[in-house]
Amino acid sequence: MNDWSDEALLEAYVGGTRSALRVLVTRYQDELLNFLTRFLGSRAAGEDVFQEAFLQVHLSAHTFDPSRRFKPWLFTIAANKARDHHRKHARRHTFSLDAEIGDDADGRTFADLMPGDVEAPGEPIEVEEQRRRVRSAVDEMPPHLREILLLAYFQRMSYQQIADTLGIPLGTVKSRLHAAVGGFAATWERVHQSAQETER
Amino acid sequence: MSYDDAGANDAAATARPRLTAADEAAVDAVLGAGFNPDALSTDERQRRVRALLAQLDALPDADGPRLGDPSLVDATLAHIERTERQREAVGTEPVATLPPDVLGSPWRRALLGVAAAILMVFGTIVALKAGAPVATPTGGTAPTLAAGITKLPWSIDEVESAKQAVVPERDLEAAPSDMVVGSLVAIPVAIPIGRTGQDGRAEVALDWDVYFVPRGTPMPSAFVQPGVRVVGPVVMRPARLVPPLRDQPEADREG
Repeated sequence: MNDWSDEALLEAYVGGTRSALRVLVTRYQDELLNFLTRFLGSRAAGEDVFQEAFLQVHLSAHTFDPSRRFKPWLFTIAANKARDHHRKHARRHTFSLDAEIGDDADGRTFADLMPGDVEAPGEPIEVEEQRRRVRSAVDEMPPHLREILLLAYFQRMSYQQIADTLGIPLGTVKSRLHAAVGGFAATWERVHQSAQETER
Repeated sequence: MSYDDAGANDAAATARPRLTAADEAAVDAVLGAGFNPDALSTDERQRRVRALLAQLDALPDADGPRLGDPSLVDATLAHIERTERQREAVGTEPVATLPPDVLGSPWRRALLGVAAAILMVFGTIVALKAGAPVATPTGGTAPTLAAGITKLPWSIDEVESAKQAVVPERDLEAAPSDMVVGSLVAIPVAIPIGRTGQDGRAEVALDWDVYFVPRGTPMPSAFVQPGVRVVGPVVMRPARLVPPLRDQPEADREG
């Protein structure tokens, strides 16, 4: 059963083969949990939503169209659950795209905000600091932008795949990813500058 | 600008492009190349976009799960099993124990009417308790409502969305305890849908009844059972009950 396709496994599960769901859960354990952990910022929250997502898979399995792909369907469910979780548990909404970037008056371009190269992590403390800064920048991003950035970068999804997964128009995906990247750049610069000022 | 409204953000994003057209093209190109630096052109802008997004690699992942690690898999399957058992337990409720006409439209309308009246009175009393006069729709004086558990004509989704839309979570966190006037509790209920399953049992849809439990009131035993959700505290703010009355104008909710 381990070499069955996702769709065949779900079909078998609907048909009464209970063990097929275990194979599916195991198969997506790493990939989905990583996505959810990055999205929600904690592994505990990620595990909660992971379980809720597969509960929804169980409840809705009979509605799945086996001619379609399982993975986007699963991520659609998971993203919805993650958004619900975030809405219920979010403690702050501080990020603003009103941050100066792009076609702003002082003439700076987006590229000015971006690092020229990825700095190689040095000491462990620097790695931890780097993680903290990135986490901070991502946490400040609103969920509907964050999910698109993470699906694009970590799941390597195309615009069309993201649109299918989230059930939103292709143009919306593009504009949201552009906004997400712009926002991330602006926040990254701010977080970075703040850290540098602290070091001085 | 708030980020809570995805639609508004999309509109704002359209109205005020965050990136230049060249920046957007670079983002598109990097995504199209699967973020693979080798697949990118030598364009400096693309290289910088790629470098920026590579910072995301520092984002901690779940850091631990491995294929074959049974704990999360087992927990997930147990969660499904547990939920299924609860659903089955609800599904065995014989239809005959329910009043035969309770779901009929005259009864339903009557019940909703009573519930709406209770809600209106309840909201008025709570707001008065906060020290602000509240006008009723008819302009009359609100009657007194004895403290107690009240069933509210809200769906659980309405409660959740109203709470999230109106109450910043920081307010809930920072609220002095004397501002917390009670809790909202959601009880799962089975609604027969008029069909019989293959096993001969009545098929039901799961719904939720939402109750307000005043602060200090002991929870009835019926509220302490698997599946019951305590939706959250109800916080008093000056002249305001949160979550708001469902029929309040939008502008009034925002204030």
